[in-house]
Amino acid sequence: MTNVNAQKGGPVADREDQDRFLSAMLDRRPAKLASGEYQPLTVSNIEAGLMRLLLANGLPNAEISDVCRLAGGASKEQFLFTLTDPDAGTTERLVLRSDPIDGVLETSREREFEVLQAMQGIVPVPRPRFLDPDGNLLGAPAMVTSFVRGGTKPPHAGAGVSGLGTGFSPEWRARLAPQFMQNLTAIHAFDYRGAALHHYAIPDADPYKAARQRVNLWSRVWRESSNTPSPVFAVVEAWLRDHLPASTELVLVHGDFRTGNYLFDGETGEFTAILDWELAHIGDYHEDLAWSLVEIFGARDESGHYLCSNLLRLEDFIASYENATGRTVNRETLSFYRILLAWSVVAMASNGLTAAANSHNHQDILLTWLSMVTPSLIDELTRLLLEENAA
Amino acid sequence: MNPGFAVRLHSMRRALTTMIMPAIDPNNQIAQEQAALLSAHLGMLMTQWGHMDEYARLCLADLVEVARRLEAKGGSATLAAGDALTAGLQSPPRRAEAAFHAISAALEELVRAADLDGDAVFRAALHRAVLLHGNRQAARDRSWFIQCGFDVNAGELTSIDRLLVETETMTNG
Repeated sequence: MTNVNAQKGGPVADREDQDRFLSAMLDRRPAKLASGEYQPLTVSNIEAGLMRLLLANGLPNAEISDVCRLAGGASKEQFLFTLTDPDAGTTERLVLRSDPIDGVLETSREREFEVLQAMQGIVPVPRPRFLDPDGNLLGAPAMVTSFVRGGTKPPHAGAGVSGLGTGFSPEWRARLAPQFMQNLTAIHAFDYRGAALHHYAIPDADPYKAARQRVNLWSRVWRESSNTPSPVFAVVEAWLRDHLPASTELVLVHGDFRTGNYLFDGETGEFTAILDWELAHIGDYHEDLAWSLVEIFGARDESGHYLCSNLLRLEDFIASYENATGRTVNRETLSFYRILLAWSVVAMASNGLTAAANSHNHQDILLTWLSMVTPSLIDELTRLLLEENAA
Repeated sequence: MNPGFAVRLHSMRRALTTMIMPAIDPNNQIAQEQAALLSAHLGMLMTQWGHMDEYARLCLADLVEVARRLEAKGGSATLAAGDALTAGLQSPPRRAEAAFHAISAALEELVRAADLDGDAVFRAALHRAVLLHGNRQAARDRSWFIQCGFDVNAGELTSIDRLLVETETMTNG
């Protein structure tokens, strides 16, 4: 792979070049972290906060009932509840997503709310209903969406935490893989420039900006919250800065598009929702493809072949995307993003472990467990870079 | 010394799985999930606790071997980071796990310093040494944490007992 720094006789990797929205979010983080141990929310907390939220949204007579905590998710507190609005004569089930002090990553409910609004009618997503971006009403940044029925795994199938290791039979893969690709390509075809994505930067000032800002983001996350030193992390960062690819086309990147983050009907297999948009951003289309190549998000089939996102063999995955979009998948760019993303998950896992060590989350035990994914990622990163350097 | 770790961990896990978990509200999914994770953590600790010191010494021995062979070349930042690593190797913390962390931190600093003003040949050699060591350490840690179930290539891993035979080989020559 080409060393862009060597080729240009100087660094193209400006370390200060940050996505301004994400940078501002990280700037606010130290104040959050100084607030002491996190106390998980209680049902009465939630009920009182939701009533304030509904009042602020012009629903003074609305009633809340059946509040219960949802499992799953590695970084947000989630509750399911029923909203009855006597004025409108409606009753609906809704989901509240609220930020703990810290988790695997710092993200914005405002951005997530915006992108869910933008995706209505494009791909199946929950409908965003109410937003408390600064936590003035609920005590922490939060949003409320519609509740969508569906599961992340077939009935009776096994799966690990956060959807990792979900097992699909060949029949289920045949049902799900075409929809997986269809939804991914629909997201990548979305006209983000014409959408109301007011908190999303478009990194188009130069061809390297999209990749550079992602490197700078995860480098900053590591610098400010890593739990343990890692010489390998620093070597990978140096390699990434030396090999930034030029982007040829920017798209709306979901950022966490993988098995475990979509829901489907347990009988028909039809997709009912694409979830977890908190990492969405404008970037290079190779990034969403490479996410499915990171080994922890895949599995091996009955013959031992690696399946991207537990669904498709690599060549089928790429050919399917190229056929559906007319885009060319550049193997070097794909490889860069695979390395970048595996590296970013190391940063997230370390951030999660720091959050657990500081009692800053309601799922410290889960964050600790998830951090054990790091050795597999380091194995993948070192193998890939040793191969790159040998080539 | 009694009761020892083995019986304490065993009795904790047994209380959790036979008394506490069945009493958790089946509709409280997150409490069910966290209890299952607690049981899994305890199971992993039961496997690991008796080997912790040996394992830390094995990891430290390999890291020290790699770090000792590095001869920093370049500008002032690289040379200063190289000196700090050498000093760390000469007087590491007494506990193997703490020493491993301290030397890893010094090595990470050397990698970052070499990005600033390292000699190009040294920087390339340093990167290669770190990657090769990182790959070996990852193989060990994957075995150490194999019970977490995240490894898609688990079939290629060595058992912890087999890993620790290496300790004998490395420390006894």
